[in-house]
Amino acid sequence: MVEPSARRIALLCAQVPGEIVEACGLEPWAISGREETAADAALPQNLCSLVRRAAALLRPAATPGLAAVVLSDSCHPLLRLHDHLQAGGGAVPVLLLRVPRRSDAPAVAFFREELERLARSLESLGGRYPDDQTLAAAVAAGAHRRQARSAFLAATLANDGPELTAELLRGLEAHAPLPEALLAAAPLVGGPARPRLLLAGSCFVSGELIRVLGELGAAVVAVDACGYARHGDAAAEPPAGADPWSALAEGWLARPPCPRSEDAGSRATAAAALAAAGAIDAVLYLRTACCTPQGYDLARWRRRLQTAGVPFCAVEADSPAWSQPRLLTRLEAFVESLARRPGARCAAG
Amino acid sequence: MPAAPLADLYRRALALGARFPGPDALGVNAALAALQLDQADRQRAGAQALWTSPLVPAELATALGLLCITPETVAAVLASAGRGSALLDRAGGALAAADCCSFQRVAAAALEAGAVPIPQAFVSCTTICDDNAQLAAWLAERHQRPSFLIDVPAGDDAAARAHVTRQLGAFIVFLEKLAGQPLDPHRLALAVEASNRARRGWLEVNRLRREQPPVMPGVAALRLAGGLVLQKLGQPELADALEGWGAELRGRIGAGAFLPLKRRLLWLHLFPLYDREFMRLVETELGLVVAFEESSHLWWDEIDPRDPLPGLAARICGAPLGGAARRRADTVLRLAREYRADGVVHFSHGGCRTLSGGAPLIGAALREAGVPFLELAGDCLDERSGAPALWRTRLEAFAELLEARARRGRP
Repeated sequence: MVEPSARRIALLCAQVPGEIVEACGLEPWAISGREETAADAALPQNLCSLVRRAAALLRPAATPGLAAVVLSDSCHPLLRLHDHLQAGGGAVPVLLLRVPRRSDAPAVAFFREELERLARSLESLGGRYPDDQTLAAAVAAGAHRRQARSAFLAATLANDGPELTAELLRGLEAHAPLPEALLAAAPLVGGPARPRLLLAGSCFVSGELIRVLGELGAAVVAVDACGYARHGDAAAEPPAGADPWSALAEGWLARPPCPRSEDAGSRATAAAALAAAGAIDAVLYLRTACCTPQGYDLARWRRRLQTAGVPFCAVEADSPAWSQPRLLTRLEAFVESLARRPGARCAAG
Repeated sequence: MPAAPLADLYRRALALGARFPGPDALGVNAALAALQLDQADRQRAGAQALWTSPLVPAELATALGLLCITPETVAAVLASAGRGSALLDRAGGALAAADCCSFQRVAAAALEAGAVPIPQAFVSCTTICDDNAQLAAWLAERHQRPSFLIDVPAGDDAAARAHVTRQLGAFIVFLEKLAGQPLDPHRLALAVEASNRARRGWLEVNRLRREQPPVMPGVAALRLAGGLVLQKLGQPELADALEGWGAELRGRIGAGAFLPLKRRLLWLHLFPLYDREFMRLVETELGLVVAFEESSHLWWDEIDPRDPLPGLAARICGAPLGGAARRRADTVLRLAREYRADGVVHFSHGGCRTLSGGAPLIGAALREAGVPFLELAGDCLDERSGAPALWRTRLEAFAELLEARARRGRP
């Protein structure tokens, strides 16, 4: 159960910028999909498990005192969640933030208006409409977090760079505060080389999965998954004196795309380039069950990487639990296959 | 017997459908089939074609001499010819995941198999469906064609309409580049006027169906859904066909050719297109005639031929199937009342998270209003997902429920 807080605002999905909530003097709570909850049986089974789990998590009994929920219009299941929560008697106000799928000038202009609209709504719920200075500070802080995460991922992808641990993975969560381990210079970790994996796709990528893969003999060096910082983010702090609303809109839409974005295909290309440069050896794509954008994205990654000769494995999950035998068997077989490849880094295990 | 080659399968299926339209077909079905076949012939002869999702404004492409084809229509035609699951099997793991919409997957498989020519470009619209936009991007990359996305914000307000209007301006630039010529405002005005004429013809058909007992099976109108009509807006032949539909209905009404009817239904979404017996069971055997269907509801106003972009944007943003389920529910309630539906049936197509995902809320709204509601689950294209015995059982029970209500004097 989430601790009661009259100032806590639940956010779903990761397309909702926490900076605007912080600037309004409220506390963003990003729903990751990895919370301890079962799926809500009231929602149709063909909606993705993230949405159904979020529906259960956002029941009034489970989240007393939540000030509001902000959902993005990233996909139609999220719009159905919006319908479902609104139909639930309106115990908690549910707001919708419309986030463009592209990052051109008209999209930035539209998103700027949306952010202002959201701020006004949050003000009516007890927040504070931010002045330019407050918003600029929140935007700068957000950009700093993105830069730190991007630099860290660049380090993990470098030859002899460190591998991700569960703790470091938590530090890559898009809305989380930066942990000290990330802020410190990334130590170079020696030891036996193991197949270096990029984990892509689902928000169900978790510390447990990294631990499982580690036990199987692989090292995870980057993620390109929902709710986490993605490699190659060229975040920059906005110039002094810039309009903070436009800066937030433009900077937010300039992040590496996710599967719902117009330029989603560029991520598979980027992964192929990482493999060509020797930064990764293989890709494991996790698809959230019944996620349409990831369903097409997975096919795109598979085709792109197989064309480039990069080992690729896809698994589907409807929860962050990785103890299911069928999943473990797939992962084990995949990691073993990597160790047997000609020129592979040292044998697994 | 060896399997028939797949080359040109779509066009051959269209020709077969035009030749043997089926007992439930009306003149409008034959006219639309002829229009589709003509379009396929023109594409084969070199005319430029786009694959467009249903709400992409066809008037703009038509004014530039470009053909619009919806992937959903391609898939529906091939599934109606019994080739849906075979195409899916053939494509195997190269397609999007099996729980994604089979309309998109069958269309992608058809393109992959050479059953339909590769278009010049792929254009999509994010309202109604996530699959549209994802499919267009994927196919564009796969077949190395340009693509354009109309990114539609959820909800219908001034900001959303303005944002879509701006994108339509950019869309015109995209089309002009494909067509190799600038858009002639006069030709655009003519296309919009033809679209408005088609709209008026369609509204007249809807008025006749609202005010008179049924003289046509609803399945004839259901076969026009999924973008088949929307993608011909702007073509005068469509307006002629819809006006002809109205004339045919008036003729039948005048001759007293009313269908045997037990109860009137409002139908939501589609039905198993590969199963010719399904709607015969509903409308003929059980006497539950589809008095109206959601897919025939027109929600937009006439569009100004001199300045069409705002009106086209309003049409896109205002589609009841996109955005909040509450808006869709309000529309369904109104239609149920206007068309005096004794009950409402929602065929929940498995891969459709938008419409099927909202079915529980629609059902709740109808039950609250005292309107009987039945949800049937299945797949419109993949016959392997069919459950004919279960559907029959549930439809028979629903028919009995409606009869019992009628005997108790409840409308």
